[in-house]
Amino acid sequence: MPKYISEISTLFLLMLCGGFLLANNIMIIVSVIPLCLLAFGYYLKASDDVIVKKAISKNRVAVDEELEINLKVRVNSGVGPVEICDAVPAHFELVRGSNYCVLWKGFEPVEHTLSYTVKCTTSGNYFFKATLWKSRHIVCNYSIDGICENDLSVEVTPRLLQLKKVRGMSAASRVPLPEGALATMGMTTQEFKEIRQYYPGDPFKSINWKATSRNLLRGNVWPLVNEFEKEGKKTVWIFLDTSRIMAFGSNLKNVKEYSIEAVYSLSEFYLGQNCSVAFHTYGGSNVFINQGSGRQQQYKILRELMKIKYGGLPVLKPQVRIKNLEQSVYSCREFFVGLRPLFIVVTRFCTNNYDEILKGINMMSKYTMLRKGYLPSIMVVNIMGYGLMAENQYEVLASNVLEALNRVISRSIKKNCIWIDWDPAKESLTGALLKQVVAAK
Amino acid sequence: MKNLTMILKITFALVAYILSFTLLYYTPVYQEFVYALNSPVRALIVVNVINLVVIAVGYKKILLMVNIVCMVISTPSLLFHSKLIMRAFDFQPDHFMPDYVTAFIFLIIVILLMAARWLERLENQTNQMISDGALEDDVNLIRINSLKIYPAFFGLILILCVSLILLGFIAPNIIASKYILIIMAVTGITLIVGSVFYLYRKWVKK
Repeated sequence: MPKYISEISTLFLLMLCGGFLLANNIMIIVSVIPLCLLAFGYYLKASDDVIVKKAISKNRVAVDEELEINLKVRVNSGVGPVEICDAVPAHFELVRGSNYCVLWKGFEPVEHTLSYTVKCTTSGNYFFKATLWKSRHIVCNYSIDGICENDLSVEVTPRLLQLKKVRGMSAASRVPLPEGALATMGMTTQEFKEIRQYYPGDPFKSINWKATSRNLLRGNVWPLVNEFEKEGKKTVWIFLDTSRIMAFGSNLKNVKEYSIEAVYSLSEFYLGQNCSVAFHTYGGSNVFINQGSGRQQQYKILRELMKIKYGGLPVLKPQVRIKNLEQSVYSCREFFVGLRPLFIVVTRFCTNNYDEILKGINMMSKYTMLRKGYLPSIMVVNIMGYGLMAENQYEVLASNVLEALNRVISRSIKKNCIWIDWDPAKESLTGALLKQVVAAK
Repeated sequence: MKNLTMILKITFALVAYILSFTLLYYTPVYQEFVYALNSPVRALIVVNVINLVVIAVGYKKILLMVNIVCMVISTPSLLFHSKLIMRAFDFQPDHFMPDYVTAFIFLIIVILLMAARWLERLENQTNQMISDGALEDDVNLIRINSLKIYPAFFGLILILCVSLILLGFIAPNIIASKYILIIMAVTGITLIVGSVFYLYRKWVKK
């Protein structure tokens, strides 16, 4: 029962009792007004039967891709204004249309279609569960709140930053490939890679007859063969910082999201180069994906990246100690035996993590190749986030000063690794990598 | 449309205030005040200035303050028509405004104040809707339809209450036996209280 009704009832009884007590006809007559309100409130109902059918254009989108949402709203009962608001998860930006509308419900049922487009700004799994509605009573001062639920969800994958431009300049670039140059034409493993078209020389036993017969129906006569991963791949270890330092920026633009994009793009690049990629996080969550190659590995990394973003930092048990970069590298030392991997650290450098990065790099140097005159195979991608928060020229100036300060502080670390400063507000990751190439020349 | 609701709201509040002051004017309290100040003009100014100061104090909720002031200044008129107070202070009802006129004016005041509050609520709601991103046309439709329903509701209340006033002031003049009068009174009270409990229980069940 709305509070309003109890108030009206009380008012009526007070006026009536007062009227009788003072023997006042006027008060008794006026007490009919709250009674009328009570009757109107009951017999002229506010809308309470709202049905919402929701549809989304895609179930899987990449960051910055647009998603269209359509709602069909039907209000069956009651009279009065009805407000409909479709709840959009955080990190989504409204591009076109509106997720809010108001309707007038007369004595007949009313239908309305609501369409809007949102842009996903951060990766993760999101649920478009709730559509909220609120109907107001036309005469009485109360409203009914309701919610229509469904089970729609969207998987937002990180944006893949294309690194193709860098590939052609590998000879000039100090953006390295792993130096543990083991043969890529090694023994076949049991790890499935892909189904591809048959080429002369392929063994007959590798033909996938089921897939070939399906392909035949499509008019392609060439057989298809199963391809498995080869042994002896070059190895890349990617370490992602998930500490609080990375939680810098707004909901829509933040360092964490750019770091995930960088990891995803670099892993895609190196897997495309037929390397074996391992992924490890430190500083907050403790995700570890052992080295592997192929699309399956890419998918594994993507899945974990989305969890990091979606779930935020996991609640660690008191006995579980958060590992820093040095400890993470040390804990994986048995995997480096016989390899000379390339280490990639994706972090946001500031004075607080200077020691951590320095110690981590020193630890990595023990496991990677050291050639005279060459830098060790350690690459640090420093995401400079100050620019993301700058809104006016003074803040831009302040962010430039802070970045310059960081450059000065990081000078001693830069001697021991390949250092890439990436400012997502100003340039793409490819741009940052190319700048490094130009500097190397 | 927005200006119309604003004008209506101000007009209703102003008329309600004038009617309330009219009720106050015909009370012994006000006449005593005039006698004390020895000038009707001075009394008029003093009372209105006090009312304006009270309204100005709560300028953020000006309509609520107008409601309070109107109710306060019309209460003496209402109370002096109570049989209990008339007997207690030995007032002569002939010196005041007739009770059915007082009842009618008081009813109009209540309805005008209610209408002004409702218009204010409607205005707030529509402003909120627009700021939340609703389309102007949809909001205008809501505004127009609400403004159609309000007069119907007030008209109904007015008709009901006027008929009750007529009945209330005609009934005592009917010459009937004591028992019939008691039966009529008990039936009336039972009907009203019964309908309230019926509605209240319905609401509670919901």
